[in-house]
Amino acid sequence: METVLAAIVSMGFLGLFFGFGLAVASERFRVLVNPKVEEVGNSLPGINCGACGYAGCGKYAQAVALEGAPVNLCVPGGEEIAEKLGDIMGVKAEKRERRVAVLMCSAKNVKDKFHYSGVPNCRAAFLVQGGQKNCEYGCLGFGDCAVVCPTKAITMLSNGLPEVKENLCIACGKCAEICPKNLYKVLPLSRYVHVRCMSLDKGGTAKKKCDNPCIACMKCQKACPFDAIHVTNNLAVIDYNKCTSCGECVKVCPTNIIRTYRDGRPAVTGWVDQWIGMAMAAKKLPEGGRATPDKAEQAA
Amino acid sequence: MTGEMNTLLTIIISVVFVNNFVLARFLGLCPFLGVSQKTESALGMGVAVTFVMTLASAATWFLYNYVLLPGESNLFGLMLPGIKETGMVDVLKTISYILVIAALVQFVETVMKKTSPALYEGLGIYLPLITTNCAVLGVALLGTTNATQHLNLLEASVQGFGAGIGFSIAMLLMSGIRERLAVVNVPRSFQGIPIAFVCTALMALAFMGFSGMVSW
Repeated sequence: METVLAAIVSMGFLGLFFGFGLAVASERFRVLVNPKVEEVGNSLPGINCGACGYAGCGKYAQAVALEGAPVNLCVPGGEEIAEKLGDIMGVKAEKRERRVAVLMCSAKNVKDKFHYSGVPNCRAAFLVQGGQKNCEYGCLGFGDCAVVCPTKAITMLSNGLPEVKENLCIACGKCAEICPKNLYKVLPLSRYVHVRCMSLDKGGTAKKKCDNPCIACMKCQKACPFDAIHVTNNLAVIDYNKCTSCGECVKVCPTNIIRTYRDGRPAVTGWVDQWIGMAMAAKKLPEGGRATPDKAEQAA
Repeated sequence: MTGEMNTLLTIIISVVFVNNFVLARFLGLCPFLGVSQKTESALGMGVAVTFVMTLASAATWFLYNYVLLPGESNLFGLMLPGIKETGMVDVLKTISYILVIAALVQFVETVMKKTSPALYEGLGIYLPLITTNCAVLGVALLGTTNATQHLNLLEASVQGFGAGIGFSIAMLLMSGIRERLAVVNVPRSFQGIPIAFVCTALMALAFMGFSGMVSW
């Protein structure tokens, strides 16, 4: 009986002692947390994508509340969250244009130069002579980008190329980071004309490796009314400071690699109707008499 | 002095290699498999466990010698004379150890948050995970009630520290293996935890080679 009593008494004493000690400690070593940090943190989506440039939502919340970081950096949250954070912090959120990731490759019929049977991902394949594809600049097609995409906006198509669903893309840049060939660019939505090739090979060489390369024919450079597209190192490059997305280069490109977002894609509701110019360009393309590769060959 | 040093060295070699907590005693398998996917987090967990084990060994040594053991030194014996003869080792060892370890870790966490935020950032997420971990309780029991001979405070603390180092070594080895496993074609039914257990078993076999190296 005494053991039971002793157990109760001693545990009671110990519990009381530790409870008191912890209470004193929590009072003595209290860390004051700015309540705004928590408030901001609760309004953020909490998916820790890192698109804001901070290491997760918690760090961004701290930066906003304590260091006065801009409130409009949350990409997945968009304007809605920017306004919310603006309300909490008492500042006005500046509008920031939505951006999306674009794949700068339109590989078609690119043969393998050897049979690769190693670890099935792009980074591993890249270590073996820069990948198994004949075109050393093009997509390897193992879909690392689809794996890292936090919103599942990237899916692998049956032709071996990934496809970015623009309405899901939050422009976190993870695909651009992981792609060993640096094929992704994260661009503002209003810049919807892209040279979707990264090949620096000369025209003839590039054409042998792929059905859809940039052959550096200079047609786009001549067609551009704004001097925005230039061929350097056998590749057409668009200067997005000058480009107005008029679509003239799209019309003249013989290999069909300068394209707009909507080329052969299902329409994305929401933002897409704002870009009337683009819709027009997309409608014109098939009938506009642009030379397809086949026709060019026939003419020759 | 040299005798004492020898004893401490024997204790360390014993708990790090011969009686490694994870690979020979099979304690603390939950964090061992849960946090060993990346070397970084494995190292963080290892440091946190070493820290808590050392503290817990010291704290439970005091508890054991001044509260649980029968004899003149028992503090509660002053109030209840019967305790002086019987002691409370059998009755209270588990629950009081858990209480002390949990309270201590909570206390350290609170203090750390205030005094050294950098250390808190590093260890903070792991500390609450291991307050009631079986390896931590195990090291406390082995330093006191289940010890082969009565240890003094220094020996008990060194045993706790060594056990933590052994745990960290096992974690780091495992994380190295698992980082390689991540890029290998593992049969589908073996992917994830099963292959990790197979590796653990092989590592445990390897660690059996140390048995009999020192007797402690």
